[in-house]
Amino acid sequence: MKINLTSGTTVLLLGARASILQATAHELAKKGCRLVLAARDVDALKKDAADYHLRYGVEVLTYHFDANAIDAHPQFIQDVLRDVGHLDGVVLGFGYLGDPILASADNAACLRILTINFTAAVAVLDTLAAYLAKQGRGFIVGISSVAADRGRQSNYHYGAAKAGLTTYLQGLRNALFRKGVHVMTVKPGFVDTPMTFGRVQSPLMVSPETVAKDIIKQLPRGKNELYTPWFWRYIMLIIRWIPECVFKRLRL
Amino acid sequence: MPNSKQTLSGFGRYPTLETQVAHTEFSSTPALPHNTCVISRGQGRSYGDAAIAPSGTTLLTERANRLLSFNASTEILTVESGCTVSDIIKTFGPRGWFLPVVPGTQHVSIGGCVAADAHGKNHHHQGSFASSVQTFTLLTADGQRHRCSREENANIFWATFGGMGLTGIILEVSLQLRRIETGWIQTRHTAVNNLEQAFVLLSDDNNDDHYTIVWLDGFAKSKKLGQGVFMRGHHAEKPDMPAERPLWPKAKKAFRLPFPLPTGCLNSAVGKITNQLYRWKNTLNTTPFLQTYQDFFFPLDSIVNWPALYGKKGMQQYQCCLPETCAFEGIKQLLQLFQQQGIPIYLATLKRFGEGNEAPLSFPQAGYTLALDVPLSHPKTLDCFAESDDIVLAHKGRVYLAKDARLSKEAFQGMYPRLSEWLTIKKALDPQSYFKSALSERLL
Repeated sequence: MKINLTSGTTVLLLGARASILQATAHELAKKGCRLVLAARDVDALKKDAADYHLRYGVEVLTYHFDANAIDAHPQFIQDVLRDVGHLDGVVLGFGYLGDPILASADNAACLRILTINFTAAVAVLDTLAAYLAKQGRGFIVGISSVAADRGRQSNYHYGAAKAGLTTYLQGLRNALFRKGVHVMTVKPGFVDTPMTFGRVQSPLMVSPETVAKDIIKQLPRGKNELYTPWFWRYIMLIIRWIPECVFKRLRL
Repeated sequence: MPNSKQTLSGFGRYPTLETQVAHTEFSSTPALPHNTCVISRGQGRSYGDAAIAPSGTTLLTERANRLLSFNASTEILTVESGCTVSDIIKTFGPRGWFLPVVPGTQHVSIGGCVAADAHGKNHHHQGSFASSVQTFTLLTADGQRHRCSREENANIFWATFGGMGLTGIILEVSLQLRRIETGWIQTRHTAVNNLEQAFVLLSDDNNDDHYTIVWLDGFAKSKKLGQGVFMRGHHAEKPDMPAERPLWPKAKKAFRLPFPLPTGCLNSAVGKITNQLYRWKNTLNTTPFLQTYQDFFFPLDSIVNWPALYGKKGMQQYQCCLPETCAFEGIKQLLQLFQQQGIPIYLATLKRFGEGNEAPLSFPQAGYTLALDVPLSHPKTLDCFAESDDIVLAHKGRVYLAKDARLSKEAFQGMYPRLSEWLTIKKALDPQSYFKSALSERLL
């Protein structure tokens, strides 16, 4: 199961306008990969595509993709596979933080968090996983979150959905291992993106570029679960150790 | 639009002001925040308070940094304004294109270059940054986009160069690139023994080259006043290159100071010695030699945050330009003033300017420009700057707003005689003064 990121490697980026995926696209394009970008705002996506193409000279394709519109997923995947010829890997990076106070009061807001972060991710990955398994090689990178490691009052809907995604990716890794497809789960800590801007101020905050460099470094090494930056593995280890009877009293 | 409070300063670390901060990347057309005033900020490389809105929102454009299109036959590149000089050189340099005008750092945004109408070491041949701009789009206070060029909305076009971001948000800029064959500069150094000689070398056509600059030893006094190194260069061509050298130099790793050095680490004794060593080292070889474009254009970029060398209080640069006829006298007086006050000048440069352009607030005008880097920790620095303003005014010169943090309203009005012309355009574009910075609150 060797993962090569070289010229000609075709990678599909789902949620390509997310900051971490934009930074990942830069890193992939630096290696010469052909990029297939999918996101809701196609006009903005086309400008991203022009940028990657001008900077790195790689071929970039763009597709409209709305994670929340699950019924439209099969057509989207069909279109992509028809156009690109072959697909070597998928990076799933769409996500939605939402607001736990709003979500606990409003069902639609709650469902939106669960659908985008979990249901939609599973729906689109299932189909793509089947394609890669049939092909007998490839990789899937799923951007989860350290929030998945323990439910906290500040984002438990988001955390629960990401925990679901993490568990799904675990199972998928197991299922695809014998098919020659590698699955990597990425758990970023605080990243300076629109999702956290104005909400989180922390000395542990890193740029999306740092996270993307880490992803592209660890993916060819066959890393299974990537905490990025690395110290989050130990922070979350401690947070998971705190007994529930203590944890429930904390304000985290 | 998410936003938050932050404390910002310019590159010189003074002044430090609290402002709301917002990003522009979050939607493809930036939404203008309501009920506040706004100024855009690219890389925060202006030295003073030009890119901070203390009473409003500072709009960060750093992530609006995409390269949008390039036409190889017209050599016109269109970019978003948050993209940096470095982004463009790194991408197009190896393919044989370069920016016709580059300032002294490559970590500056294109929007910033337009807003300050930046200049380089070739102003006497090429003019300022405006000379390389074909068109740009400007988002004005009413939410409208204006395409501006020399033909279309020409008054807005010119008001934006030197307009310090006060006409609106510069969204996309189309730049005329120039051809180069290598990433190297054919450089030649000449020792300069005094200020008279510096002016002779800069003005004499026999010594001229596409890029020229005199680096001065700010500690040299009396007879040696103005001693330094005259540096001239042009883009090396393929036949100039030894076979073993790559046509495009390797990227350089830049160093970042993890924290400002304690005040006093950089003192007069250290400054004196480093300036003398620098002069000695750079006049060892007076025959032409090859230098990487990084070393020639952006020597200070090797320490990303070099103002931190000056300590926590930071530094200020006094940059002014004086018209040809009286530049020598004025610059001599300025150097002597700083020296009499005992303010150490750690870095001083002198450049020649060609004719200015049509922009009412553009800084360069035919003559010479002097830039002095001094520490803010010296108690007399700001008083001395005010005295310098009088000298500059008396010689019909002006101070560069991109480097300024403390010019007075009166001095500013005296230095920029076409201000009223600019204000008319500003009032028509932005009657409510929606675009406002600490600099504009101080000067307008």
